[in-house]
Amino acid sequence: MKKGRPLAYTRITYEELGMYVASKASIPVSKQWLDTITGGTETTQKPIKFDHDADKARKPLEHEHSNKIEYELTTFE
Amino acid sequence: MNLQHSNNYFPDLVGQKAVKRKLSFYVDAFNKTGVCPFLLLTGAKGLGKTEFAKGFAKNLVNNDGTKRNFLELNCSTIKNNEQFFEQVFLPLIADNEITILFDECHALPKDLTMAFLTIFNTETSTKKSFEWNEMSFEFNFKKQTFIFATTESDKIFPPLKDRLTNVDFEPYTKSELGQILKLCAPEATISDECLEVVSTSVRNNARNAVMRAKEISLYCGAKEKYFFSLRDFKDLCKNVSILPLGLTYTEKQILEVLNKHGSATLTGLAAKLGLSKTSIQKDHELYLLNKNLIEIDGRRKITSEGIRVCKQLEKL
Repeated sequence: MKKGRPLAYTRITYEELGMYVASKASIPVSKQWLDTITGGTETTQKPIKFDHDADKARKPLEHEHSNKIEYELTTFE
Repeated sequence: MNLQHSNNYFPDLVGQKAVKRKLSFYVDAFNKTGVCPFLLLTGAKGLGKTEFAKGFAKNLVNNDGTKRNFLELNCSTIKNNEQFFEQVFLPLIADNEITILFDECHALPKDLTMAFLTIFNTETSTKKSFEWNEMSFEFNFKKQTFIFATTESDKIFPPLKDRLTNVDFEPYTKSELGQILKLCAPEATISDECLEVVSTSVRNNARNAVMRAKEISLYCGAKEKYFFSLRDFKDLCKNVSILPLGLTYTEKQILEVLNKHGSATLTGLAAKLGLSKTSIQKDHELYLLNKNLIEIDGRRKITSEGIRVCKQLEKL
């Protein structure tokens, strides 16, 4: 049994990705991850997911941040 | 176990003797065994469920002697298993020593409720492996303590409720509410006569008592006073619109309508007030019934106590 981050994400090399999409293609990535590698200064288009069914009109789906779980972590002294 | 002992674990919390005794027992058991049952804190809003969960968590110690962290989750913001395991379990819970409070747990999504049926179905083992979506999530109940809390225990899926140990909260007495008021407004000396009246204005509710104490602190600060008398309270009531018994303006209207007409049907009352019947039943009638100001016998009727309060309201 695997242990790690569930579904939604999969691993692919940058080289392999290049075989499927062109260099100008817009790829949705985690904002946190992008901030980590760019030092939080990168400004890109907001990530929008598209329905991949070619027969349907392309329509944007919900943005990631609307699904955040509210929590508060307390550390006692 | 005596009360003195349970107060040692909850020195800053007033009242709830039975809750303190029960939770103290589990703290002691945790100190010996390293495990704690899955707790379900139930009771009306403002009775201190979250505060007691935090107070309980504060007493739990990790293997290395440090205090265990406390994670408070609002269940109404959890949409599904994927979101929970990805955003909360993997980064914050897995392999960590932590206490987790699922607040408003009646709002847990269905798939996570079903997952919890498996996860919390443990008789003797302190570990549980939950397999979902081709992945395995390890729960270690010596490292992780789970607490649930809700005002609406009837809405929790019964098989999940069966797996949890219920800790039921009781209403605060007038004297306990007075203690909360004093504790939360330490810079003001409140006269006993005044404390008695202020305590009746906080709707049997600890959270309201804390809010009222803040208003008293602000009043004393603004007026540069250290002593808060009954006269000051009357002045404060006028300034921030506090009605006798802490009634809301809608409750006041209900009393006035019933006082004028003697009795009314729920539909009639809804029409006169311009409110929905459900809103009257769920939000406004309960406190009036609790305070014996109205009674329901097919029709809504005002009681003699209700008439007395109405006269008091007319004088304001």
